[in-house]
Amino acid sequence: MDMESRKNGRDKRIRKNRITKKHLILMLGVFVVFLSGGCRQKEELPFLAFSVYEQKTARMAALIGDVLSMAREDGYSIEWRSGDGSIEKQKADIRELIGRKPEYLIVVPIQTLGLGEVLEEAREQGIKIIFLDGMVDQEEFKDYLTVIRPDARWEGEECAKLLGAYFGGTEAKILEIQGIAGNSQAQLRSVGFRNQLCEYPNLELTGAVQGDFDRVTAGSNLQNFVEKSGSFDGIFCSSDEEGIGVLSVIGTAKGTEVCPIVSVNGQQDVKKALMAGYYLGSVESSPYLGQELSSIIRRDMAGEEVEKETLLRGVMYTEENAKEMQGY
Amino acid sequence: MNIRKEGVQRKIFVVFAAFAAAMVLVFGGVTAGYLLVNEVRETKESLMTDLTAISDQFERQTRTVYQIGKTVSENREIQKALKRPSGSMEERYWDDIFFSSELLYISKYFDENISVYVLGENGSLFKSGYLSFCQENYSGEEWYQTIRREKDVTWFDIHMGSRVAVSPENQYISMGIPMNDLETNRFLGVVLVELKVDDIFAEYGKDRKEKLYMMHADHEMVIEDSRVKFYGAEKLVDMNGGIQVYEDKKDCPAYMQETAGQIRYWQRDFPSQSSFGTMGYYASYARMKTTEWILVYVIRKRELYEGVILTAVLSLLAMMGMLAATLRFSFFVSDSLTKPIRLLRESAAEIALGNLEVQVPRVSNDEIGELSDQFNRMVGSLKELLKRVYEEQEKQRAYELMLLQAQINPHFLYNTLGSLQWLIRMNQLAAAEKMTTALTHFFKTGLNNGKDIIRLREELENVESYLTIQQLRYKSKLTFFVYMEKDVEELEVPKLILQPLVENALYHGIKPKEEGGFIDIHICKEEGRVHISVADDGCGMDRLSLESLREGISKGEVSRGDSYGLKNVDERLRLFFKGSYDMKIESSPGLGTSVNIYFNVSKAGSKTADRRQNVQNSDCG
Repeated sequence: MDMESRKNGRDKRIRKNRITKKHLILMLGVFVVFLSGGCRQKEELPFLAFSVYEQKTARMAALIGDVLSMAREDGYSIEWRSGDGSIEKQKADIRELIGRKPEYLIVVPIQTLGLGEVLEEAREQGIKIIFLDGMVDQEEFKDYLTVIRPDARWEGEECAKLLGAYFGGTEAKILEIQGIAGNSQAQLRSVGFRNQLCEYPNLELTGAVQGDFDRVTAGSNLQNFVEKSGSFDGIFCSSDEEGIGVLSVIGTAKGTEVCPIVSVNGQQDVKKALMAGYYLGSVESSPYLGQELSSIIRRDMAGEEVEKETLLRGVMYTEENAKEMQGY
Repeated sequence: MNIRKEGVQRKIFVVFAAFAAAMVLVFGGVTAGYLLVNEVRETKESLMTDLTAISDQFERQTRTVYQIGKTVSENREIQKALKRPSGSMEERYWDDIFFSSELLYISKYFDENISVYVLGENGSLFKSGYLSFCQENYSGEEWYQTIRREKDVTWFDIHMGSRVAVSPENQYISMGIPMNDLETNRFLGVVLVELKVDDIFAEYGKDRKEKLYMMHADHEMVIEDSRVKFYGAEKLVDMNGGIQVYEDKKDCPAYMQETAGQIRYWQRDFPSQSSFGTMGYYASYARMKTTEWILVYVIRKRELYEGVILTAVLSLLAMMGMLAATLRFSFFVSDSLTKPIRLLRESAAEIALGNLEVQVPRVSNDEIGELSDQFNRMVGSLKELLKRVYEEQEKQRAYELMLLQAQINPHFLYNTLGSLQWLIRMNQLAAAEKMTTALTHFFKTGLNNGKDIIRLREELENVESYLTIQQLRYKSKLTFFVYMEKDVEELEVPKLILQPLVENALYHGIKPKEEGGFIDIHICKEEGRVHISVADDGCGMDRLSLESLREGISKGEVSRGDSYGLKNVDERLRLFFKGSYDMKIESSPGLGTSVNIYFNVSKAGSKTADRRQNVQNSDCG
């Protein structure tokens, strides 16, 4: 082998080495891209746990449906449980859901008091808590991410304003049908209603009975009130369910005589009653909170700071604008 | 465990271990068998019990659904409202509110999980539940038309969500009844009753190994983890988390295919409730009367026998443990029983090898312990005996040595040779010859070719030689007389028993007496005993000396210089004749001394006879 051929051979080896280094760099680049891509692929969407205190009413059915739809549209996996109207069941549900290690725990609390212990357990496990359509007492638990709820106080005030407008300067006795005892939304509605009612000296709050957001309970408790010679000229109900309950009782007792009923929610049955002229008004308290919830979760996942409270306000529906009512 | 191939321990071990192992195997086998059978039976019973409970509950609720549906469909007020032509919206909405309240009370009365819906042809929509209707008219729905076509009840199997109301994602079964005018039979609408079944399935289907599987006339469905999956003739619909359609029939789970095939095979004539096994599954089923649906609990045989296998494995492990413990215990028992015997055996072997220092430790307080003690005592006695024999033999040898030394007493030999020299010088050759002959004879019989035992005749010859020598030395100062009866001549005695006595008589009795003396040796038989008497008429002993001598001989404390020869004779005769020997010493000052020896003829004779017999035997070869 002469010197020339040796030189050529060495040059080829050098070229070969250069190609190998290029390949290595290329492979490294591909590997880094693959890793980064892989990491992005591994960014799994959060698992949501959803606890509601009941599921039998139209409002709650709509709320549950909306949240589940939102979760599926956004690609989250979600597990939900219903407390069936029992705080103990809701606590058990939350504990079970905590066991499934969700990133977010969405709670529609039954009461302001009583859930603090289980919520604390969730927080200790690093689960972010979002209250929906209600909240718990700040003294009991305050380390939540956010609360999304209708402005219940405003809803109560709107109801009082409608009754005030209906009776004008005429003196009238108003009966209050209260929602679930201890429920934040029911309490705030009551506070808002009573505060606003003070603005109308001709309107007297003649009594309050428990309705538990349930038409049967509200109806039977109203019947008891009537039987005890309690008289009233108008009724404020904390929810439409209670309003339908009292309407069926008043309708039976008073025939076609119209007694002004105002309530909160804006559900389908009340829309019919409004259109039929048996109902004075209903403040829409939208159960469709899924969009707000989705926005909050997305922003939180992106590392943005989210507001501690989101209050939503609906529309007051009366016979005049009942056709526009969505009526869930 | 080191078990010897042969021996008591092995036998005990084998017998005990075999018996115990047989007991363990029989008991363990019976217990395990009982547990296994019981486990399978209990699992099957539990399966059927649970299925009965769920089917009963299902049956109850479907019956209630039927009752509500019938009650509502025949309600005249509702019929009246449905017969009303589509009037004002106000009237219709009031009817909706009013009759919905009525239906709510009916539903509450029966079961809160049951919702009733009345869907009128005139547009009326009544509902018992709180949920809102999802649309305003349902007459175009397929299920509505199905109900309308059927004259009686139509059952719809499990479906996700209400057919008519906006509901959460719950599972319902529903029943439809056409509502026909009770008078004209005109179709007025339909009554739809829905039963929420999540709670039932949550109770019976969740986190269970068994699959709850429901068969329907048209298709099958299965409930897994409280969720339902449908299997139709052409498709499988997964209702868990949305609807998913499987076009391929192969997607139908194997247990459904197997159990469905089995039930269909029997469908013509099978009991309403029973259990059966397929290739891979065990199934219990119950046919419901109201709906004709068949509820099936299916469990994999592998899972059914899971508990059984676990029980079997645990039983086997327990039995193996017990067996190992039994073998260990058997070894312990056999070892503890045979250990003392083995120690005895080993000790005996040691003794056989000459080690008498062996002591068997007492390892128990029972008979074997006593045996060990006795063995130790026996070894002690043997050791003592051998020691005594050894000592006696030592003594015997010492005495014989001393006698030999006495025989070749240099004084005696010197004096004798001096006397012999004098006799020769005096030319008394006859006397010298006699002395020489006597001396030769004396040494010859004394040595006796090295034998220890000698005939009395030879012993007497020996002492006669001795006396002859002494008489030649002391001339007229010593006279002696020797007599022995003929029939004792051949009796055997230890050699040199007379010479020491005669020497004592000569030196201590005759020699100190100036006028000399007489020694009389008399051997005869008296009353079956041999009597040897050596008497002299020498100076004798006083009483004190005699008693001292007697005591010294009896205690063996005679000094070498004094009467050592007498003690020597006494000891040797005592050893030879054992208890049948006596020595008596009599003496009086100035009158002389006599030593009398007595021993049994039979003793001496038997020894002789035995020895002769032995010689004859050995000669015979």
